[in-house]
Amino acid sequence: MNKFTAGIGSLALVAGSAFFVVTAQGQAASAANPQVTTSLSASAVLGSWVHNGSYTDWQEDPTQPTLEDGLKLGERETRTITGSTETTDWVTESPGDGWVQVAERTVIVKPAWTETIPGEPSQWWNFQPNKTEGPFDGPPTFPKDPRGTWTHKGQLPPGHEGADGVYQQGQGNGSWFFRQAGTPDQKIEHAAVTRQELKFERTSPDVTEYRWQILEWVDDNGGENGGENGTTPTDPAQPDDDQGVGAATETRPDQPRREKNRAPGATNPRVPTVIDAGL
Amino acid sequence: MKRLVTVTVVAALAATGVAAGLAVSGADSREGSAPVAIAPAIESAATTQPAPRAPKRLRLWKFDAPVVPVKLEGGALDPPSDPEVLGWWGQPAGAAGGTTLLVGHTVSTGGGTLDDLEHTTVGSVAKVSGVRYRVDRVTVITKAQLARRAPRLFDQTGTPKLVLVTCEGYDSVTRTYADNVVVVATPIGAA
Repeated sequence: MNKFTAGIGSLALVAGSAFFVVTAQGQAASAANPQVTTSLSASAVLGSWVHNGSYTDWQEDPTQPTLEDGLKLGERETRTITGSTETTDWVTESPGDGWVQVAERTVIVKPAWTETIPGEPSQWWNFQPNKTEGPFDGPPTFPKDPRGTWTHKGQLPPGHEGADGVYQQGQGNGSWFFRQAGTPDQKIEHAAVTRQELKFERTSPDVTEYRWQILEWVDDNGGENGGENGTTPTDPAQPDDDQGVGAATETRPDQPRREKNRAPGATNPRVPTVIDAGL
Repeated sequence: MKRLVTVTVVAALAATGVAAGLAVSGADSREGSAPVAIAPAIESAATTQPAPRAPKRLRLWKFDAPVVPVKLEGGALDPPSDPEVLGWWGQPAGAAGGTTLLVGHTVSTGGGTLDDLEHTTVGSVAKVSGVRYRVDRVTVITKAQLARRAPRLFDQTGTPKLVLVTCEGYDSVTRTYADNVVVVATPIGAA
């Protein structure tokens, strides 16, 4: 119920027989006409619907939205948002439905490499019989034999190759030795560690959107309809310590404050359009 | 004032009989029925939505950072100079409508609060001062695209959502960033 209809009621009160005329006028005024001026006899209802400078939100549905009492829709505006293509950075999985893979690459996390496990060197011992032993009748037992001492001599020298174990050099009168062949280095080939990275695109089609002027009733004597719509202009989107919503406060009002004459759903022109967040 | 006028009108029309009642219906069919329809909806929202509050901290994936308010300068919104702190603009966490925007730095040499934001997984859950949000979209767009989409992306009166923004696409020659990473999440309840 707005002031215009309130005027209708007042007329009905003072002149019941005249209300049919008033109703017809009211229905005409409620049509989507931005400049409708009533011509009622009572001066209290003289005025016009005027565009208060605000609009409804852009919406894809061409159906007219509903406004609160005291406001009505004016002319409709139309715009077409040209479709665009979004492309992701290199990612490892799709961001979600509607994304199409357009590129793929293999990233080498760690190149292929050869791992070398060192082998064991050969070992060589010499047996020295005890001097009290007299003529030695071999072979001695490795690694211990009570008839003498085994002495580690390092790696196997050239000319001593053969099977591991105790052996005698010469023909029955030579020294006794123990040999143990070494093992060669072992090489293990490792494949490269890779990761598949993908790029996705999502194409948005052209979208047609609509919005309507928001009109309010203004009396001819200059008074605006519905004083409760005349709130102090504020930035509904701006966290502001002065409004008790800054860092020092815990909460801020749930509902955004409305600029003067701004209806719920009216377009808010103040949003960030540039965010430089790189150092 | 308005309510008083309404009562006067109804009383007046009632005094004029049935015809007057028709006049009321034609003038404003919503009169009288709106309070009955709205009241249950408000009660329902109060029991399912967390109370709105100023964001103090963001937790999401590997991100865990304090949040402070930042102000819009013209059309530009800059994060706090401290790269380990996020900036908040817009609606409080848990608001019934509109965008809660958190912005933070990416640092080319590492150490930015929102480094690697583009690798956030869709479906992961963010917590902002007692409110949980589910990540719905992770996109990298040019700064021109951000400007074009800003009215809807940062809308203060539409569907409630959390939006995280940082920079991406560092050019080591010009030492500038060409793109923005935009993460959009929708509230799923109290944390």
